Amino acid sequence: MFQREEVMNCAEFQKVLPYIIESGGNAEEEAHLRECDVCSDLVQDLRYIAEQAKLLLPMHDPSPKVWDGIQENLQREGLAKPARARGRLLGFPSLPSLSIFLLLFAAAAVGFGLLK
Amino acid sequence: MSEAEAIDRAKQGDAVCFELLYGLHKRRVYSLCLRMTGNTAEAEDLTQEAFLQLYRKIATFRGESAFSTWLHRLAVNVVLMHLRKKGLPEVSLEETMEPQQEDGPRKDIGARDNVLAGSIDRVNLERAIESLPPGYRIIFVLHDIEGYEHNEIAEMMGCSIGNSKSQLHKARMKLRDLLKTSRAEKAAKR
Repeated sequence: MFQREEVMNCAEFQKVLPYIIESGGNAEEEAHLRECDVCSDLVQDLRYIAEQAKLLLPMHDPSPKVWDGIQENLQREGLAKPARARGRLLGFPSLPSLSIFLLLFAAAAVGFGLLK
Repeated sequence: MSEAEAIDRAKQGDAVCFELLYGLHKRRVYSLCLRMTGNTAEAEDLTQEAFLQLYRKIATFRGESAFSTWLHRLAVNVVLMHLRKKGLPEVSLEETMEPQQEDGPRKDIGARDNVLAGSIDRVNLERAIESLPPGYRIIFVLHDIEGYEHNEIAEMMGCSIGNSKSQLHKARMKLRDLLKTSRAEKAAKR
């Protein structure tokens, strides 16, 4: 004689919930999910939280003192030479100063060209 | 200059290229540290430490994985080391997959509430993550935000894969509670 399968209750369902969220449920668990609004909402919420978390982007930059601290430490350990100017490692002109130099050089070159 | 060129030059001690790499990756490394610790000052110290280690170790980068993957793993290890030194609980090694009473799912059938879908924004979620207990927060950040697999988390944290899964589930359950409470409080104010 055909025997009806025991129906899974919420407590049993929620006990195996971590596995269901990760890899889906078996037929019995899926059946419970279709019939139970509370468990269905719970699964929907947990999946939604996981999905939203994946969309979180890095939003904030560290303060400039982090880079200053890195330079100070590298100098102290002898891995980098002392900076000539604040915020720069030795041997490399900063981009603004390089730009100004190139601008002056270009202006001088143009000036000389016009004089000739 | 491409990132690959900057990495090659930084390996040879090129300071400008190292600064370029810092500029490219500082935001993500800092965000990782901030989300894992929930503390701005600690996150800044750890970001600094991660990049100092990068400077010392960059010559060992062989390109077997993406540079960002390698750097973020390095940063995670810096944070975990810091938390161990501080003696903060990460994950209890005795944890099992059995749900605990206080953190387990509610069995209050009939207490159906609106689902969260569409009702949480980034700010609320970030705030809720910040208020998670440290052990839950770390696993949640590593798995759901940073995309590490349970086997990788287990290896990094020295716990079992089952433990990592269990903690993640509890973290999501706790977040659900926090987000629902926050939503209810907002609704009550209106």
